[in-house]
Amino acid sequence: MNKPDNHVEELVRRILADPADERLLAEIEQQAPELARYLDRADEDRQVGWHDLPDDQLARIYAAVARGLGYVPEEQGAASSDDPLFIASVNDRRSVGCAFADVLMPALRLGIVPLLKSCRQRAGTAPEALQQALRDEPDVQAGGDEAAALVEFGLTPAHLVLASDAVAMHLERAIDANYFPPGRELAFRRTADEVQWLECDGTDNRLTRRDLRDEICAVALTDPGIGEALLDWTVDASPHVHAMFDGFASRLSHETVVLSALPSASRNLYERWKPSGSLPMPMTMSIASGASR
Amino acid sequence: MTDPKLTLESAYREFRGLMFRALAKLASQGFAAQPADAADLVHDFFVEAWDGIKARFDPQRAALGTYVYAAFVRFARRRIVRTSRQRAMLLDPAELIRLSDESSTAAAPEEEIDMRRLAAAVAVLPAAERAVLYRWVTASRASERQVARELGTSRYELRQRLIEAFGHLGMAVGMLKDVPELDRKVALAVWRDKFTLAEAALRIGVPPQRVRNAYARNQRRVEACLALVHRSPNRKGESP
Repeated sequence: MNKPDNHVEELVRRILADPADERLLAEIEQQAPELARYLDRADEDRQVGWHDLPDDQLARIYAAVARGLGYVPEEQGAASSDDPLFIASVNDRRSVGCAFADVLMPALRLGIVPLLKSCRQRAGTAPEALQQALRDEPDVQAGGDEAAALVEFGLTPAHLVLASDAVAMHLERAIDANYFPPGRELAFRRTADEVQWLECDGTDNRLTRRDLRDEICAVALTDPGIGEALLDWTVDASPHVHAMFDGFASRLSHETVVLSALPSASRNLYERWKPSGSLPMPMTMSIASGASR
Repeated sequence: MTDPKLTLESAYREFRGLMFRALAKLASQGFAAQPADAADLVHDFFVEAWDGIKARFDPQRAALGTYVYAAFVRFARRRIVRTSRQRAMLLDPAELIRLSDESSTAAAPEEEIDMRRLAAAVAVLPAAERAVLYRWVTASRASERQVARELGTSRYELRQRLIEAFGHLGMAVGMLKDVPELDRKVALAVWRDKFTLAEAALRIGVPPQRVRNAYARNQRRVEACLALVHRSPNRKGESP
């Protein structure tokens, strides 16, 4: 017999009022079928309060619903497949392709369209033999149509990782060598979406466009035209994901992309490529002199 | 071992709990689906992906539950990322009604543009997009889910069609040369260039609230245009 909706609504109200209450999780588990039906039918107006719940609280609620709906890991075998689904290692090319298709492309407004356009402007297409070989690579196979489109210029999703890691490692070396003071924000200065240089407040030192491009070419084994295209695209995309450049968060400030160090780096692309947690900040500062708002 | 010949209905009952387990794991990884979307994700997975699951499943390689779990995680994660971005682009009609207009002295939107040209742009939209656009714009306090049900589609699909519709109309926004500059910039930024409202505010260089107000005015322009299309004697009797 179905409990009336007002009973479930009362449960929902209590969940939103105190999501950390452990006793509620037991109630959620007991009423999981009714709660699932309620969520399926209720208008979004009634569910506005859910948006304020932290992700970890939401996770516990879903886990309680799962148990209440009869989920038994030993019988249904999900637990054994957990890790590969949630860890996209930069060293595992298939998982690079999965993360590219599942997380990076949906997070970006125009996907790889600007990268392909830039490649067409700066470089020729790759030899057909190379393209055919790349199509068989696991990251291209797993990466879907957009990954297949990269092959035209001799690129795969793994090249995007190599390019962004090349930049990140170069920045780390510069900071370690005190070329840039530790703890300061860095900024990619751009003109018409082209990176001109990277600078840091408090020092006149810079990394030029050529410095960054050459680093990408050396690590990703691409020619200069493709290297420039990768540089501009990774910088442009970086404010929209958590950590395009491993160990650094990006935000947009006018045409400048500002980098700040994260507490830790991650080799998990699902984490690095997930959408950035906050929307771009309003323009309140620029660390480079002469920048206009 | 689960019978791989499960019907869709029985599979839904058997694996729904497994999918909420997947949603719990995704939320803990930073890919949180709102509860309203969670129900849709489970529903849409069975509608869109189940036949392919059954066709590709190889019992020699894994248990069906393991296969379903993995497939659902990939399906849901893609959808969660895309939906979170799209949600920032579009406002619920109820939210638009709650927005306050910054300028009560501004000219009524319909007076600022050539409505016939904009009406022509709406008229050549694909029928599915026009239907979705008309229903969504004219819904007063109806929820997205209600609109989706009336149109026989999912909320996700509704949003997809709305984005396509606004994108097509955005191509015609070049006709909005006489509207206030901010409104034109917001229309181009959101409908043509597919920025979120917050990103549009940053690019244009104005506070987000002004962008939201401009977006609301643009939405009323579209609504007025749809009303014009609805009244047009040239329409062939097709429902909006």
